[in-house]
Amino acid sequence: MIRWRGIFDRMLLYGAVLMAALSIVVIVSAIRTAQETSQNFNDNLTFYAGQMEVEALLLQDALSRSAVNDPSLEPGAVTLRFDILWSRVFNELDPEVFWTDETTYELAMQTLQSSREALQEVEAPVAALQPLDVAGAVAIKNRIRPIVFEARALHLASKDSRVRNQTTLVRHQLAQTNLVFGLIVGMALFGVCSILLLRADRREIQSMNARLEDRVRQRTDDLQSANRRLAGEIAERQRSQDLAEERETRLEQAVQLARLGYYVWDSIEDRCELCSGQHAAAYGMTPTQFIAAADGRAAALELIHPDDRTKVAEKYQELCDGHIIEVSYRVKTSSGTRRLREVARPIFDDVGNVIRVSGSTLDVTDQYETELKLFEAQKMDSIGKMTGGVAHDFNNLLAVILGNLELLQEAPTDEERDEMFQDAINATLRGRDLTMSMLSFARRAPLDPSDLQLNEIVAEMHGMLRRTLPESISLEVVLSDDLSTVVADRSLTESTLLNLAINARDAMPDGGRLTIETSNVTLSNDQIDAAGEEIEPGEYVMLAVTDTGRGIQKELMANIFEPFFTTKEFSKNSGLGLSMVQGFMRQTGGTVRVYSEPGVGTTFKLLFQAAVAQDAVAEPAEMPDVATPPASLRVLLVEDDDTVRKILTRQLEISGMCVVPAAESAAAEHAYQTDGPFDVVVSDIVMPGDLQGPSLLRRLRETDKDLPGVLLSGYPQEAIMHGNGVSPEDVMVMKPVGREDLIAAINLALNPGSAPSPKRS
Amino acid sequence: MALLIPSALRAGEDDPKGLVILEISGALANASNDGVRRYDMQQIEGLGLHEIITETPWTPGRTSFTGVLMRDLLADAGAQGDVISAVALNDYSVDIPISDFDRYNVIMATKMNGEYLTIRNRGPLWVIYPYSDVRSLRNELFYTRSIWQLRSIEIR
Repeated sequence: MIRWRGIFDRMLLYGAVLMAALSIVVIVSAIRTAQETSQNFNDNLTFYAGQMEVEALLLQDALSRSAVNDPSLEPGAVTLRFDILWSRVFNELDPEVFWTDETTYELAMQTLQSSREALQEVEAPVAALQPLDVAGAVAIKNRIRPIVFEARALHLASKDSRVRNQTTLVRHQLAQTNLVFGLIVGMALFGVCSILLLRADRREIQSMNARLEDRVRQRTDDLQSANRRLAGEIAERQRSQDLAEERETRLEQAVQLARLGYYVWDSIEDRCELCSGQHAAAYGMTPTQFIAAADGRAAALELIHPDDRTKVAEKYQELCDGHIIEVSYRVKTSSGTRRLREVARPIFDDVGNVIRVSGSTLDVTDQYETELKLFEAQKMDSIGKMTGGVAHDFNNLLAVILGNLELLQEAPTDEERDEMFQDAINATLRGRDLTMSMLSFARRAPLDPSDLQLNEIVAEMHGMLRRTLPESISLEVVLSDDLSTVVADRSLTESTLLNLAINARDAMPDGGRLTIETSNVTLSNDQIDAAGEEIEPGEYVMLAVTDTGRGIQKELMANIFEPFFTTKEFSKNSGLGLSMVQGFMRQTGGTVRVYSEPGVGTTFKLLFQAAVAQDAVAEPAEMPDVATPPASLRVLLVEDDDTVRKILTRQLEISGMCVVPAAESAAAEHAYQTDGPFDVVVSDIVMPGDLQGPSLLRRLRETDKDLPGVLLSGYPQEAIMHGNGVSPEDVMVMKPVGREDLIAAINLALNPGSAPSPKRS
Repeated sequence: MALLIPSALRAGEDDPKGLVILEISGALANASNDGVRRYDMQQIEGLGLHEIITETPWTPGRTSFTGVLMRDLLADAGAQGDVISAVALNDYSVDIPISDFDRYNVIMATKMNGEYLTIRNRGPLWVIYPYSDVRSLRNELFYTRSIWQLRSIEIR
């Protein structure tokens, strides 16, 4: 397109130049033609011939009038006319002036020549002519006459020639006019084309300019953005570099801070290629020593604790097979046993063979020991809180016993009395079981499962529950017929039911209705999945306890099974109830479901797996031997409660001990000084007087620092609250305490670390 | 090219003593009683001679013409007009603007190549323009004004 335009433009230019040149040529030629015409194609010859004819005729006239001797004829007129004609004929006609065309000019020359001849012939006769010489005059006239005709012929010829010439000229001029007109049209066309092209060019140039500007702008933008990008990249690179360096430094610091060791093992050479100082230090060596010692995999394994070698060897084999491993092991060093945790990964070559292993090690010895201590601390804390909370549950049992014993004093009938005895003894036994269940929670104590009919248990506990609940709470029992048998620990089942009933009671301080319900249920997979429980689908027996109390807030639902969670005052409840219930149900292979609506009430559903042939899951409880303390022991007994003091004194004396009872700490101090020495002090914690149990012990230990002590309390939290008086060897005993327990406690105080617990009697 | 001859024979305003060869009539100051100023050869030549050497369409080659300048002649006659109407012996006549004589050295020749002009040689008086000296004169217009066998002049 552009090439065509170029050619077209060039053609236009050439055309314009050509036309201009042509125009100039035509105009010049027209001017020249006009000049030539004005010079050549003039009237000179026509005029000249006409004059010649007239002059010849005037000569004729003079001759005729001379022949008749016309008086009006001036004298010498014939000679004058002759001379005039002569002057006309004897003339050199300049061809430039008299030219018309070749033929006519020739004719003119001939005419002049013949005329000259005629005039020369008549010259003498004319001179000799006399008036009235008719013959002479006629003779001259005859000779002159042809001049008239020839002159006339020349006149006409030159006129014709002039007409011809003019016609040619007109034709010529017409042609020139046409040519000029054509040129004008052509130039006009060229002009139009040029204007169009110029406009197109201008538009093109404008658009090109616009495009160019756009391109320049775009290029500028590109450059700017490229610059920005470049600057950004440079900054980014600098940042990355800084970051990388910083990261490296940080990594190095982190590795050092984390005490992270690392090594690289060459699997082909089977030797340690690289070893960090930290890694070697974990083995109690320098890196050089470690590399020298770990010469081959077998040698490296030698460095590991013998008990862990097999485990580590297996892991190393996995590593060589191309797996990432994580292994903990012990290393014996000169400074003791270190525990290491190692993570290692294989490095492959192109074809997938393991050529190297890179591993990192962390010395977790300190962590392990800290964790152990922490675990112990947590355990101690849990035990402390648990034993504190148990008081409440226990007091409930005591309330039952107390109530029955009080009623016994009334002693209505034998039948009623027997029932009351039985209730009191049952409550006492449940109290023991409760303590045991505490321990079973704390230590995962084995259960004693047996076939149970839940309907029977509910029925047996009905009377006790009725009496435990205040008048404002009505008790309803709905028992299902054909209830399946379950396999569970009897006392824990009872304890659980009691626990739920007491919770229900506490939830209804203003009274309400407590409903105990049993039924067979079938759980499908869907129901279990929906509840998110970890139990098998199948046949279950439900024991439900429903109250019309205040309900449980939705946001608390997730917490109610957590140990030590309670909404009640701390003194009222251990917070262990529901967590125990859940633990028990899980151990039994069932679950607990809670439905609660604030303000309406709460339902706890215990789901026991229906018995098919369940194996015993627990070992029988072991009965530890209670070493009998020496019968001759001297015991200082401090107890403010007279009854308890009396019973305790009797229990110890039955065991053959020598007991000095004191009612409070001042008396005890006095007795210690007057009746001492004593082998052991058995003291209540909370007492009237200046000194509490622990403080008393501390005071007494100022003189006998190894004095064993047994502290009695209904509420061990008291001991913690009173602080420093308690030494680790002191044995704490929860009241009420049986004889055997008391003796075991004394035995334990005398021989610390012998029996695990005085309460496991 | 001009050749001035002192006019030894100036005759004043009197009638010519020789043969009258030129009559000037019309608007002129120095006329005789009949309103015509007449000149013989002696009077004409007495006005001062001027030579033109030129080519003409009617003469072969360069030719010497001697005569009086037309403007001197008309001044002598006291011409008071713009145009002269010149008439020849053969009754040829032509109008010539007087301005021609102020612009060009136009002469009324009496001699050609040193000899007096005869009637046969288109004399005795022949108006000659300086054709060779002035190119623009070489055209039909001035050729027709170059009247020969001049007989009379009427000034208008």
